[in-house]
Amino acid sequence: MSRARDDAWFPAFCVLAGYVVIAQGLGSLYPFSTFEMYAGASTHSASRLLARDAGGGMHEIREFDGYRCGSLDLQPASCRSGGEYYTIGYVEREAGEYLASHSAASAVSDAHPVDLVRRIWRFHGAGKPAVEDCVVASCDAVAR
Amino acid sequence: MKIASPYDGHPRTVLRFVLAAVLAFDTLLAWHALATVHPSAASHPHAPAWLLAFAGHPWAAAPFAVTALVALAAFARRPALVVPGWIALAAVGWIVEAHAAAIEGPYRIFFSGGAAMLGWLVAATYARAVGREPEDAERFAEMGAAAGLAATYVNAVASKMLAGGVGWIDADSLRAIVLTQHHVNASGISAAYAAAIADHASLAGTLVLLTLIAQASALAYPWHPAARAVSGTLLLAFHANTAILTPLFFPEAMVLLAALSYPWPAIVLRLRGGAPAARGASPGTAPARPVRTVRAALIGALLAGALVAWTSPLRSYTLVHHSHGSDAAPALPAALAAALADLQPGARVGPWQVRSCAAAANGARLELTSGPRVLHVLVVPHGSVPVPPPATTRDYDLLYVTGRPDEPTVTGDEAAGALGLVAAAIRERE
Repeated sequence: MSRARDDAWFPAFCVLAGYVVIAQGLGSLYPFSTFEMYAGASTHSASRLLARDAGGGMHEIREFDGYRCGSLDLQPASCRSGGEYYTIGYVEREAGEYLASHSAASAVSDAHPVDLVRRIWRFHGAGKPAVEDCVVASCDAVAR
Repeated sequence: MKIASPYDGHPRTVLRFVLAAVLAFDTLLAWHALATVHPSAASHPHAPAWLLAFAGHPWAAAPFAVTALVALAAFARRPALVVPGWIALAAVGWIVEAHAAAIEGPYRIFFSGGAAMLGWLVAATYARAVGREPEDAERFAEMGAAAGLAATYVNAVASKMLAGGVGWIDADSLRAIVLTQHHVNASGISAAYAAAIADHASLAGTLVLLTLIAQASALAYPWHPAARAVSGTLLLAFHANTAILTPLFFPEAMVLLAALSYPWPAIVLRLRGGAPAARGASPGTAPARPVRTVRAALIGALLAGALVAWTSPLRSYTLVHHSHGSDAAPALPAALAAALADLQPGARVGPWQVRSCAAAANGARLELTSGPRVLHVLVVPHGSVPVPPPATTRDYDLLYVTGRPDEPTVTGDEAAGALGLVAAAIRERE
């Protein structure tokens, strides 16, 4: 029996080239993906939702439970007075879902005042970014 | 052209098990994720109702998960067994896409294993088609898996270049990604590191450049053991760095990189004091079938795939992923909008209040609330879903999904009552 020419490179090349070409056309449809996360993230700002306690300390919103807020608009127009800002879709969605699923229907005895704050960073050159805190809602919540 | 691997001279059994384990992990993770999400305003606005119907219903998706796990077990048992592998890939894909439709888009952690499995299967199928013996076919499969995994990184860097060109080499992009995701109260080295990146554009810019270099190095990854070791190490460092700075952790990709990038069989042999195996590929016996014909078939399949990818409606479907959250919602069909005129946000339906009403799943999705309880109602044209609908009107079927598991329970009777009220409101307008 004769020895074969080693052509293992051929299917490997087809996989590499094919995956790239098909994914760039198709977008993300399993198992193809362009892995374009953050590809369009060219930005000069950043933003996220945080919780600020009565002493001014900043926390992740998940550090509190049982939120009771007057009204809740997580991206109010008032926070755009300094210009548009960059957000990450799933980070915003998860924050909204957390607040929706950890709200209290009635007053909780050990709740404390907490401000929901949209913190916005703006980059101006190489130095430290400028920081703005925009209050989104005034709430009562319980520390976890 | 020659291709060599760090596994040359050794069986690929361990790699086959690792690949099967990664896909099994993805199966369970995706199934669990699908079971804990529900259609909402973030769902794909054009997702078919039958795909959204799996969200929040673990038992509906269970047959796909079981199929995937059984097929993966069969795949792992014998070398170059391709049919179970293809079945597993399709079953995992179904779960991942159902989950992606229910939220704002797919979780990319699932795609590294999928791409590696795709590469393994394409190359193994090719090798079997030209008559290679199973052990030899698995050598091809390993090269294919390495190429599939490498392609994900090539795509990542290509996407950045296509979206922003050299403009992506911009320190502010990385600073924004870190600041939006690093824990605000983190302490220790990781916090100091994140703060340094946020405060020093030059450091952030250097890391961005290194990220692009690491991802671009994947072009060389499949072809030579040294390239695999260098590129694999760069990519592992990239993943580790990302995990330190953000919550983004890609364990499947890291496991596959670790398994495929280094000559583990030779290392183990050396540690055990055995003689190293002869290096170099073992080209095996001559193929039993004409290679030219099989090559032409593979190229044909590739071109057909590219044609579908670039011209079919699937493209417009996937483009909406991750881009519809804050955009204006698509309009409801006129007849449905008229039927839902009394069910706009703020309207009361018995004890329920309509929180949102949006186009989805070739119909509409209403989000109803009653105190802390949440109920989602899908209103779709007759015959859109493969199950008997709990309520119907003249033109529409109504389905419901309850809130997340951590939300107060909505009983079946309460949900049926709400559906009856919604159906009555629609009937008055039909």
